[in-house]
Amino acid sequence: MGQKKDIGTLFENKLKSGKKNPDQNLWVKLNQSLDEETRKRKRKFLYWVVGGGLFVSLGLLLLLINGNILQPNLHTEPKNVLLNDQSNSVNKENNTKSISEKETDESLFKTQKDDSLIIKNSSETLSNIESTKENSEKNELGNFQKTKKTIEQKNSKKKSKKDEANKTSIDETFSVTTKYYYYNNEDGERVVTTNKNEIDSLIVRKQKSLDSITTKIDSLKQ
Amino acid sequence: MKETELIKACIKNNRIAQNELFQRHKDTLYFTSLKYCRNEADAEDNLHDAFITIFQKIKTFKNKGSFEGWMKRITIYKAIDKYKANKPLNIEIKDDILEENVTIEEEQNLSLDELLKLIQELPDQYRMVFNLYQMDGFSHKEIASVLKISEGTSKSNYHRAKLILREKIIEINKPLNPKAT
Repeated sequence: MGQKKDIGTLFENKLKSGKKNPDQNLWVKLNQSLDEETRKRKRKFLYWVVGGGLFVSLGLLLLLINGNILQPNLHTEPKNVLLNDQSNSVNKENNTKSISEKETDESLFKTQKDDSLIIKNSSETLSNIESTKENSEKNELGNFQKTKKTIEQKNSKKKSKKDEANKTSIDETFSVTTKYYYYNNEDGERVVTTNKNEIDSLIVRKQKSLDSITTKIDSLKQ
Repeated sequence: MKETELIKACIKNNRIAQNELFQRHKDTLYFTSLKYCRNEADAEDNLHDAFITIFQKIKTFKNKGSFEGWMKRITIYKAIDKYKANKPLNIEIKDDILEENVTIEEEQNLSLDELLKLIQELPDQYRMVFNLYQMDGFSHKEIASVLKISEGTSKSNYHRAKLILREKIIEINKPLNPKAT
């Protein structure tokens, strides 16, 4: 009878330096797998390059867009000109007198609504318009002059704003377009143009008609 | 070609060098795979996957310790990964840890293939624990961490594996030595 030994140690000693031949085709399989791995690695690298390129270009695009968002006043701010002409013509003079206060308020509201769409600083302008409308029945001419003053103030404000925007502009290649809005709440006439002279001629025409009205009023008073 | 040169060539994906490395170590690593797997087919699959990993990770070998030991460790961990992937839901039952020695007569007329077969026939977890502890020098703490079992379970599994092996050896030797029990 032999000496007793721990079964674990027995297995360890016998299997310690064991060797066995695997199947001869194993290298062939391994070779194919290695080729496939190389192909996969190349494809992965290509995906990384394409993905990286896309990421960089997207980043650049976002930078460009952000740059434009930060300076919106450079090319998007339109120049608004509002003209509130209460006495449009001689024929309308009589009509104006007969218009009730309610109707005037309605037209005022409408004007305010329209103006809010056009003018950026709407609250300031609307208050100006309201004050103009309240006095419309009493002194149309004075009202017109007041409105004109508001326009001039507005224009000067816009000009100063534009100047500031131009000063702060980095890229001078942006083209700044100025739009001039004309609106008559009497007949609902609306003119949008980039030519200031057109608006000026309209104002002059209205001025002339107003002058004729004032002379008529004066003659009637006398 | 020296081993260091062979490693350098393998890092450069030289297929001839890779073949040379495979031919040099395939037998040892195949035997390691056989101890951890149920059969030859599984062992070949494991060896294939182990070599793929070896060639992929060869640039991370820092020349600390033997290169063969490094490859052997990769082969063992490949087998463990496969075992874990196919492992059924692990319900741990608190086993009694039997501390008694499991001994057998030293003079056993068992061939290498027979011993290998006995190990392969062990239940999967027992086989893993027995090999890791007895053959490859892992501690029960390490085994518990690798196989996600408790240290007590590892000790118990190791002991039960030895009991099964003794019973089977006695069974094989029965016709020749009826008084062995």
